[in-house]
Amino acid sequence: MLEHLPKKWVGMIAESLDQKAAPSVDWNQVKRRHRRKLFQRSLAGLGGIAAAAILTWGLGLMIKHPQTPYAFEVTAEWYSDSLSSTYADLDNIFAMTVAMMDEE
Amino acid sequence: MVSAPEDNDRVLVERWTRLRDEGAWRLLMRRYDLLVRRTLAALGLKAGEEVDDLLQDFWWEQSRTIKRWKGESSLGTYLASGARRRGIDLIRKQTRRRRHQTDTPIEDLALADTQKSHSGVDLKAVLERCYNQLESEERLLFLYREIEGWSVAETAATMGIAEGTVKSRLSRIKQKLKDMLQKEGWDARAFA
Repeated sequence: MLEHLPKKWVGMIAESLDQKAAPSVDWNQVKRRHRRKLFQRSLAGLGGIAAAAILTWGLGLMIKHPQTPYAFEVTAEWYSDSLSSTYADLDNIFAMTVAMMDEE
Repeated sequence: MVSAPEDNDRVLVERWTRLRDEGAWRLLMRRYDLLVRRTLAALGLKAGEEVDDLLQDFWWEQSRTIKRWKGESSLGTYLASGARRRGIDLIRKQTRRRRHQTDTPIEDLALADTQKSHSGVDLKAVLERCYNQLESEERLLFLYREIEGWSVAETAATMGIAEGTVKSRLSRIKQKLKDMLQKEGWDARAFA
C-alpha cells in the first residue's frame, strides 16, 4: 500500500489550486487602494462634522431669532418657572429644618 | 534603495520596518504571494472582487504589522496564519450572506462548479473534484505538508493543532483521496 500520493497527483492538485486562486496584487495597487479608502473615510468624517455644524447653527438661529416659534418660548418659560418653584421649595425645606433644630 | 535578491527574510523585514525600503517589501510580497493565494484557494475562496479586496487589505495590514514577526516561526507560516484567519472570516461573512439569499453552503457551491465543468476521464478534473470534497482545514493541511513541503512543526503551528494531529490527519486525508480516486477508476499504484 502506498504511503505517499503520487507526485503527479500532488502536482495536478497544486496546478488546479493555482488556477482557482486570485491573481497577484501589486504593491502600487495596494497603496492606491489604501489612499482611496482613507480619502473616502475622511470625506465621510468631514461630511458628518459639516452636518452636525449646520444642525447646531440652525438650532442656534431658531433659539436666538426674535420670532422664535411659540413652542420654544413656552418650553423655556416652563423650565424657568419649574426651576424657580424648585428653588423656593428647597428654601422652605431648609428654613423648616433650621426651625426644627432650633426648637430642639 | 535596491535589495539584493539573496537577502533572507529577516533582513528584508528589517529593511522595510526600519528604512521603509520598498524594494525589500516588494521582494517579500513576491516571495510569499503564491503561498497566500494558495491558502485562500484551499479554503474555497475563488478569484473575485471580495478575494481581491481581501488580498490587498491583507498585504497593507502586513506592511504595517510585520514588525511583530520575531522569527520564532518562519515568515511563510506567519503570513499563512494571517491569510488563513482572514480567509475564514470572509467565508463566515459570505456564508451568513448566502443564508439570507439561499440555503446552499459555500462548500457545495465550489463542488457544484467543479462538477459542472468535469467531463470524461480527465484525471486533473477528478483530482480537483476529490480535493474539493475535503473539508477546508483538510485542504489546507494537504497544501502545507504535501504541496508546500512544510515540516510537521510548521504545519502544526500555522493550523494551531498538535504535531501528532497533523500526522494522523494527513494520513487520513491521503487515504480518503486515494479511495475517492479509486472509485473514479484511478489507482495510485499505477503512478508509483
